[in-house]
Amino acid sequence: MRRTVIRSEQLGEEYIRLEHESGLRILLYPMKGFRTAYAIFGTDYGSIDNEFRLEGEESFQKVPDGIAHYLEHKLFESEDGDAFTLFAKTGADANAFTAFDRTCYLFSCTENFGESFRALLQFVQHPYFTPETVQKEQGIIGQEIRMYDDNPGWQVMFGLLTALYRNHPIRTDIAGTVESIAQIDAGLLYRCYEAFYNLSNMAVTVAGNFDPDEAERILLEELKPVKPVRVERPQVEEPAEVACHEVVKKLDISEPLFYFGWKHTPLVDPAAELRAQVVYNILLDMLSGPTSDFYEEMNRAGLLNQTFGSEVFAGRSYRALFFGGESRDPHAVYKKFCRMVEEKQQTGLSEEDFIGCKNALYGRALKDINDVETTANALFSYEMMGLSLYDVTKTAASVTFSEVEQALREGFRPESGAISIVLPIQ
Amino acid sequence: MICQNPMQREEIAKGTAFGSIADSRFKTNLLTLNLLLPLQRETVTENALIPLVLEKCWEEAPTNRAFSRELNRLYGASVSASVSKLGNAETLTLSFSAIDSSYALAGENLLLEGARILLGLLLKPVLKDGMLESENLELQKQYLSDSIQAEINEKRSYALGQTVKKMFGGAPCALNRMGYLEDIPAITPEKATKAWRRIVDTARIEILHVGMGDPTEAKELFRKAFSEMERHPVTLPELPELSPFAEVAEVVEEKPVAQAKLCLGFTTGVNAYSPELSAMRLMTAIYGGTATSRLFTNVREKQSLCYYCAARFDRTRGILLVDSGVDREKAEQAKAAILRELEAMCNGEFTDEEMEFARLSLENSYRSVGDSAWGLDGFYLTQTVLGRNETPEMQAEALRQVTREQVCEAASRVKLAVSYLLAGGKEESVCEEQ
Repeated sequence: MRRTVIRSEQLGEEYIRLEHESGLRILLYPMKGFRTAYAIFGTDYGSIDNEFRLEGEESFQKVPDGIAHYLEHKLFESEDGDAFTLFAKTGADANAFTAFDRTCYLFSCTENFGESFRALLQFVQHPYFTPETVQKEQGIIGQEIRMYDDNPGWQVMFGLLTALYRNHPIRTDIAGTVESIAQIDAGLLYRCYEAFYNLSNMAVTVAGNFDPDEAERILLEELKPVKPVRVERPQVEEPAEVACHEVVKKLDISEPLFYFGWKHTPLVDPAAELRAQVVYNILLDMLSGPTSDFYEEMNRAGLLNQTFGSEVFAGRSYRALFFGGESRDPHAVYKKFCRMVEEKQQTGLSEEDFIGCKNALYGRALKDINDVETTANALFSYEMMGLSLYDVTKTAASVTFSEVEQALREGFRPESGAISIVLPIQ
Repeated sequence: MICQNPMQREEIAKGTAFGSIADSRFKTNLLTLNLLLPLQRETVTENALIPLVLEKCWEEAPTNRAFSRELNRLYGASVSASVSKLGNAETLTLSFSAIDSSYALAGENLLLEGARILLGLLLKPVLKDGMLESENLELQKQYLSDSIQAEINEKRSYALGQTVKKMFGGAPCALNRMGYLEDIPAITPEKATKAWRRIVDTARIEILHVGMGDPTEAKELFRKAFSEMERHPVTLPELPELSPFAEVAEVVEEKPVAQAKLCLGFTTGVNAYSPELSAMRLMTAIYGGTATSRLFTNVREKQSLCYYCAARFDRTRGILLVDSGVDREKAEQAKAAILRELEAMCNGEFTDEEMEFARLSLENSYRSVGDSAWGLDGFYLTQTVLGRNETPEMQAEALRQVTREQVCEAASRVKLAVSYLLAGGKEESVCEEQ
């Protein structure tokens, strides 16, 4: 395996990056003194990958919404039963999740790392789907979907995604719908598995209490030789204009919830895209964080409270700015925010605020590598972007005031903005 | 291996202690200032409000904005306020978390700064004519009122809360942690100021530090502040006891939801001090605490009735709760399956392997406690308040002594008291795409 050591002079820390001949990327971050080891085996495949073709195939195939998530549930099963049992034997705590652009299988343990790691590598490389086992999952996932139907936070965010995006598959729910998952069968699951669970499309990350030599030895024993598969996803034509400027839903809640935001086109170069995300993170904090005029004014007017927050929502092929919270008058908040941005575009930002918010970002980035779980997850995320874990703190230190001012001029185009509101039924 | 309690705890003033867990793995320091008080209907709302008011600003940073700027300067340090319940008592917490001084670019002593800030928030709030400043007070009253009303937004926790209320009626341990809407309008600046002074005067105070920094200077600062005051800390109430119900209370609450929430509340007669504690913990894990538990395997995997079906044991209230999200028409079937599995536990119809899996899973979670600063803080605060001196390793060791018979015996103590269902037809959500 090709081996590199990634170091941060700034933090005085390092981790190991290996590249297996299959193309699998492996990141090992032993952390002294911790009892827990946390391991992830994941693929660059999520709910947005609902249309693809394999090399040599003529046309793209559309697969049912929610299939990546369905596949995640079913991968836990084999001829011999449930993968959870393998982990139960070692006492490890195993789980999995499907996001828009990735699917991850993981465990954390305080003892018997080797056995659990072996189990993780084995079950993810061993699909087993039959009509019966696939059918059985319909009821379980159906209830998972119902649970999210009642979740106001989830509903208000998806409202915004459906408003912002016209064509991008990010506008469809990760778990799909009761109707779309009814079309899933074993054949389709195998096809998606073959396409996306190829080792060249995957990564393994481990952080915490483990021996990297032992991990490497187990990897060499357990990784099955496979030929790389090339998958092509269609180019999504996503215009700068939103699908609609407002989406309203009603649920049994106490006070209106809102999410408003702006859609961007992400940059192709990973380092430039990371830099853009860091710049926007600082800008969002300056515009609407607890030190901003905007938050102060809205809070004093009783229109915003501490549930308000913002984020740079980004992943493979998408980026948007999100602002969300609860308010008795979401429209007033949205209007005031848009007006404030226009004013700041004219008058400019405060350099002193910039320094404060940049300082805070540095501290928060440092806190992010304080425990094994966040470290393992961050390793995976940055590897999928083609970057290293230490790139954020490095980038954060070099962002300039003029970059943030430029982002302010570019990031809030009226045609790319929308609001989603969930109103109380009564 | 039985480790020593890693917390160095010292009484620094009357009813006030400072505990520290020095740990160089964390690049941060966490300080929590915990005010422990009895839960009472008359004070529960005020007590929930005061930490919200205090965390926003203080004399030296008299507006929320000025205070937030100060925290940004301290490398994005965070301050938070929370209220939690522990049996018949409650804990009001003000916390400070920041990177360690060794990472501060200008070498600031961030841990000492944290102690100064927490003391400032608690003892030097912004006063006007001797009373808590009214604009901040009104904003936090509104926020508390919004938060109380927003409990309905999260249906799973709402259903659990309703079940516990039905079990305990008006007992202190079932009071709403955030208080009651109807109390809020009457809280004037005068009343709030009185409440603040009462809290400072009567709370038992536990300060905890977890992190890589040396807390000596911070401790001395706290010692000086609290030993100069004449406080009158109260004794905390005993844990609640709940007898088995003569008849199961059945509750159905109608709400417009897509998924029904089934919640079963059981009495156990076992609490944090009972000799049966470890057996009850192990029983709960086998029954419904893991992904190989009986509830997960049978109710979810075999019958495909739900996405989640889990059991949790609350040692501070002596109760066990099982909850699941199901279709309304399947709720009876799910309930029967849940009760059937409990019967199986009483009859010993579980394998040695299931018992071993549950034990390994619990041991794993106990051993993980020490890997996060908040995990250590929460564990040792609870231990201190309960008057225990156990480490997670000691709890793991106790599990190893539990026999199959003791697990069955623990299961037979579990008696259904309340069966609660949140259900109702949901109108199709209205999407007005404009």
